[in-house]
Amino acid sequence: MIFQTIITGLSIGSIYALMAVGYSLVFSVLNFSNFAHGAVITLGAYVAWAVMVNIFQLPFLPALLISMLGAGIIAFLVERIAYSSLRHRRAPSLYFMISAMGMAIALQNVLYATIGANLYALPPVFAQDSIQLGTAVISKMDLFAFGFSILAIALLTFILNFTRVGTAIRAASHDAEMVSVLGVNLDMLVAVLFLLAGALGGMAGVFMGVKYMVYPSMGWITNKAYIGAVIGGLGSLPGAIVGGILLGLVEALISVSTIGGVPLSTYRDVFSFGLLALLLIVRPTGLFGRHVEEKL
Amino acid sequence: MKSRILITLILVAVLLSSLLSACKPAEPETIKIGNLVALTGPSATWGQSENNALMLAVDKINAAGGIDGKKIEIIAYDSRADKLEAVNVVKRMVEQDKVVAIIGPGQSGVANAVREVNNSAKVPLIATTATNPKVTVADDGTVVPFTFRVCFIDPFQGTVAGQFALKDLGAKKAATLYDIGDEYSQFLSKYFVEAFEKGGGTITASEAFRSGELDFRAQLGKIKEGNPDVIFIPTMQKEAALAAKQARDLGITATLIGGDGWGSPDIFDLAGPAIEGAYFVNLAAMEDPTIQDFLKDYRAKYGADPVLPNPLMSYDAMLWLADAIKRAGSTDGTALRDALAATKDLQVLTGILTIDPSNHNPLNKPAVIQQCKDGKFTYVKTFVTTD
Amino acid sequence: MAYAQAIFTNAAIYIIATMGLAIFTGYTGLFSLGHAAFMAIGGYTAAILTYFFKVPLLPALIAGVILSVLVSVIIGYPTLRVKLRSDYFAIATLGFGEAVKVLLENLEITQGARGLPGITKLADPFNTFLFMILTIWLCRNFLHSNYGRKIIAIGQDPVAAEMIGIRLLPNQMLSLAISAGFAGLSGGLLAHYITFIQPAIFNMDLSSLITAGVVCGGMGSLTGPFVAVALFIVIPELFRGLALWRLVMYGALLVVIINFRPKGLFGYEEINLNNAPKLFTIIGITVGLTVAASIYNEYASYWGRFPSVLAALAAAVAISFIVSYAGRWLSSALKPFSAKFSKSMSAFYARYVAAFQKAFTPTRRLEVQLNALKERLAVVRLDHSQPVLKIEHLSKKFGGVVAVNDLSFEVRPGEILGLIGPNGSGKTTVFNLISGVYPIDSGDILFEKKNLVGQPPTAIVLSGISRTFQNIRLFGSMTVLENVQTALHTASNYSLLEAFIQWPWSVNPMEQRQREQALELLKLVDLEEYADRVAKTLPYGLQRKLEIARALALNPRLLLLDEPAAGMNPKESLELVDLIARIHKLRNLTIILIEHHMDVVMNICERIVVINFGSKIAEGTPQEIQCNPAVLEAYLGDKVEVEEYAPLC
Repeated sequence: MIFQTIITGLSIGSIYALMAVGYSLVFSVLNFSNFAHGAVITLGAYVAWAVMVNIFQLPFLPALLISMLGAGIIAFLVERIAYSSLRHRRAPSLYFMISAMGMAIALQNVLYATIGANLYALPPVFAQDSIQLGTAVISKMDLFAFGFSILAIALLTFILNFTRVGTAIRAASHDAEMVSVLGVNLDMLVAVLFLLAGALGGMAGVFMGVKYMVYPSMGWITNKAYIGAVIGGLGSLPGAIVGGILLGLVEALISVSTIGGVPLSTYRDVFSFGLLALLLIVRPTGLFGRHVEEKL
Repeated sequence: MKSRILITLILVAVLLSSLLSACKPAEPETIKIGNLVALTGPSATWGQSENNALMLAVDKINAAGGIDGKKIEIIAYDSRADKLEAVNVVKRMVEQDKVVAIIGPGQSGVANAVREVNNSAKVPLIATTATNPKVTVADDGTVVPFTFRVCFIDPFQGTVAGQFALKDLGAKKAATLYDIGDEYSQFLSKYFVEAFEKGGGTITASEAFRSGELDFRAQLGKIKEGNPDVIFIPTMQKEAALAAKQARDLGITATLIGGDGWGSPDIFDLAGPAIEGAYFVNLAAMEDPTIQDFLKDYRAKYGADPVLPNPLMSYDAMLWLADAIKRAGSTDGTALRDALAATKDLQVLTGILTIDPSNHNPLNKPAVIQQCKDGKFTYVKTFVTTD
Repeated sequence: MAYAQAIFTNAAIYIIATMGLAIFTGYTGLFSLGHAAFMAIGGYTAAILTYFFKVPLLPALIAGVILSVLVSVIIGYPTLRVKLRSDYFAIATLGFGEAVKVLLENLEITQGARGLPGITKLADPFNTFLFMILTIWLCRNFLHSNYGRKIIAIGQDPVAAEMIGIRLLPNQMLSLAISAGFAGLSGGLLAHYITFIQPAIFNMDLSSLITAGVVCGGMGSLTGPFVAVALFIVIPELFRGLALWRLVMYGALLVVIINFRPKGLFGYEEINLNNAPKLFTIIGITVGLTVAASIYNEYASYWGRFPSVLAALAAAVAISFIVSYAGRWLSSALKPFSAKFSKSMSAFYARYVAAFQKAFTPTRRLEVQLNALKERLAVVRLDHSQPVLKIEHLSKKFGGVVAVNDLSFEVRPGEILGLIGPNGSGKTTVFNLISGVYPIDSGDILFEKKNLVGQPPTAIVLSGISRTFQNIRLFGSMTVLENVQTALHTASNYSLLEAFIQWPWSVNPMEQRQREQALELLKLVDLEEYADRVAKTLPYGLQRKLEIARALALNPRLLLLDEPAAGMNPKESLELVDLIARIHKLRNLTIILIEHHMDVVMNICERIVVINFGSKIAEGTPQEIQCNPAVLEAYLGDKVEVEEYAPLC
């Protein structure tokens, strides 16, 4: 059973990781947590629902690409509406968080008010989903999602390391002000950043839609992904991946454990948050986070 | 200068308001009835149907001349199935809109939450599908004076599910998977466990998850270890579909059983083939010959099938309430309460309604077992009593 | 009417929690997504006591408050100690909130998801309203006390706060505890007002509602959050007819307020007659929208949608203007009366305080405290037998960069020592090492023979070293007087309880004396006429002077001045030289001065230490330094004509 639990944990964790990367990417440059990421993920899933089920019956891959593009554009618009003026004003990160929260509430309720609270499923990618692996079972969709996530993150790493805009983003993550002094258009950079983060979010949304379902409050799950990002250290991409997967594993393992005969599954969140608290106390910047000393 | 602007504005306002009052049509006196219903949120599929059916019943009563010549007016507010929201909504209904009675809610938690408001205002409330026993009977065993319901209660539902699993499915071992954040789910699971163990079965695992979670594979993996014959999943269709899909992915072949939260047709889209063959307890079935006329009317007006059972319950509640108002001869809360409690052998849509005044529950409400088969709910069996 | 009462009672309950949170988030800038958990703890404690043990409401509420305060201390200590950045703190509190919910769902006594139904209705509009008034009064008193000023100072600039001896952790914990206490009170009232309690109520939406109230209402304000939360509760209620769109509106409202009113509705100000028009505009818009909504609801079916929308909008605009103008007129009309009223009120208050003067004045304690305050302006007695400060082999690296390298020098009693060097030579780092902002890699710093290495910054400050900053770090939203008064916090103190109830017979005389003392210090730097100005509105040169006055309020024996003349014109810097010389003489102060304006340095420094790349390259009198080739080389590069740049040699 332990093998099965680890597989389950990895599968949940890889979705967390994909969402956590979106948080970390934005954080690395702009130094704030984009709490509207959950809404972007949700909208990405709805785009997929629209092109796969509701309006057109597109096959999975084109639908995935369209959703990624759609979510990227939505993330870009969110930035324009909710953050850009705060950014230009250099508002404290608290303000970004409130603005993001407002945006998330508004977007989620736009869905409720227009499409409604209905639950929708995205068509399965594989007809026969599970592969027997000794005593354990592994889902094809999980493998597929895992592979795709790795591909996407590899692509992102490539963009960040080997393209001009990627180099500029990495430079900006060290010193955004300096980069803008050097003549890089920071607004453009931020736009690219949100497009990338949104596209990854859209991908996560589609995978969630296929594995679980699509509904307006599905963005709730991003709280967990955010915790993964914090555990890994906000702003660090490898950190986000490790943190997300770690959280998934811990959750799955705790769900099947008992202490003195009392099953821990209902106490699971106490343990995941306890892990987070403990880690933050020992390493306030997360596993891979950078520590920045303030200049006086 | 400023004062001149002020005076002008005041004049405009006065003109405007007099204009408005002149245009206001004179409204005849009506009997106002509140409808506390989840029009949005997770229970909206039922809520919409519930409200639609209620309007159908009201149209029918009003077309026949209303109650003693007065028309019925429904004031519906969305509760989102949220307890705090519902408290505010009911306050508004009783204080602002002065409703004489309230129909709804469909959720036990919501009914419990608003109990103090409608009872202290002495406004009778008829819950539609709130099946938790504590809705009408307080912790100390006394009946809640102004709260009624038209549906069966969970101990009955849990017992039906347990007996069905034992006798009809021949199950020896069962497991449950429930939502610890939801009292309906938690208690229904408890009642099932009690009935199943009393009937000689073994419970191999009783696993819980928290509201809002989507992945139950860790819990299901543990359930799989015990190799149960049936798994009881007393949740809404959302969690049921997810659990069914994930259980099948893990290679669990046990028969799945659920409660009246499953009866939303979208469960087939959500769960796909995983839900095939599963059974659940419901308050009514589409095949019921007594409701065919209602279904025809409903389809004619709304162009779609209703999502059972809530619309039947709200329809029955309206018929019951109309009868009580007639018998009470007034819309005074206490008189109305007495009339509601004294209801006996009233012909409503789904059968004959008799209320037990000691607990405000209807007597002998049947439970229907339905099966998810070929993308449709099919009728299996009716339980009127349990042994 | 009863319905309106219900809404306002609801609002009052949330306002209590928000007022508390305003003291935490509003002043420390830390974002909490878990305050609903404190409401839950207070609510459950109180509810269990009244439900199972039939305890009366008041003791039950107090028990709830105490438990939430205790829990806040337990979770506040580890999280605040490590100085989590605000995003991390937010997620930690979110985790705390969820964890509390999980426990409530699982515990026996809280009855799981079902919670406690049928709690006796002990809270009513009347006592809830009283509690709200009490909360506002207590919070206001707290903010106008030494304790409150410390927290405000931390929120404005934590580094500067530490440099006037305010310890961050205990004060942040105090403000968290206060916010938790009021959240607990609010939760207790909520449970006894809605008569049931369940874990599901205390979700993140509730936490974010009160946090949004604080931020949108205005950080650093009590009345602002009050108005904001009232709006958040009342407006959605008005738009119940709009069903879901009202939540879209709520979300949009947050975005709009944050983006277009960066400081929230009333950031860093309280509502008074001067800004009342703003309040009336807000009320006007609200009333206008209310009327619009009801017009739409009433007439939509009768006139058709479009005309009724038009009518509703017209009415909304008209009524908004009317109310807003009426409010403007009213507030200007009230101004003379209000002046008269507050005058007679304060006269009455003074009479009442005087009447009980004898009975309630803690004479002994007060005397001791007031004397301690007086000593704040005492002249330093110099001990000429030893150096004031001795720095030995001091080193500090940042990553691979050596900022200070084996630096040794000493400061003699009563002298003004200049510390100069080219840009980036490590001067400010030396100050940061002395004042304990950065930990030291190796070496010793002896202040009056006591080794400062490893001491926290606040302890160093309180042992007698205060400083100013290269880029001015004032508490910008405080008045000039308050800036100085805050720094007097260590000299006199009254208990937290006295602060909360603003006990006139101990708090008033001490506050009075502090203000006098602060004014005296302002006089010293010629700022007394600006005492009531908000600090950040002062011209640059005066801000520098204020920083010096604030540093002096700590009664230092050693003063570190970091480029006090930066950004000043020659006339201003001459004045500054004058000022430094004056306070040096008046107080017998020992001063280390970092400065780029050579005329300033050469004018007043008795000795000068020159550093480059973190190492000392020269030490001596101004004359000696001016002729030192190593110094000239460091400043001007190696191939310079010494005569050209150093005509004095």
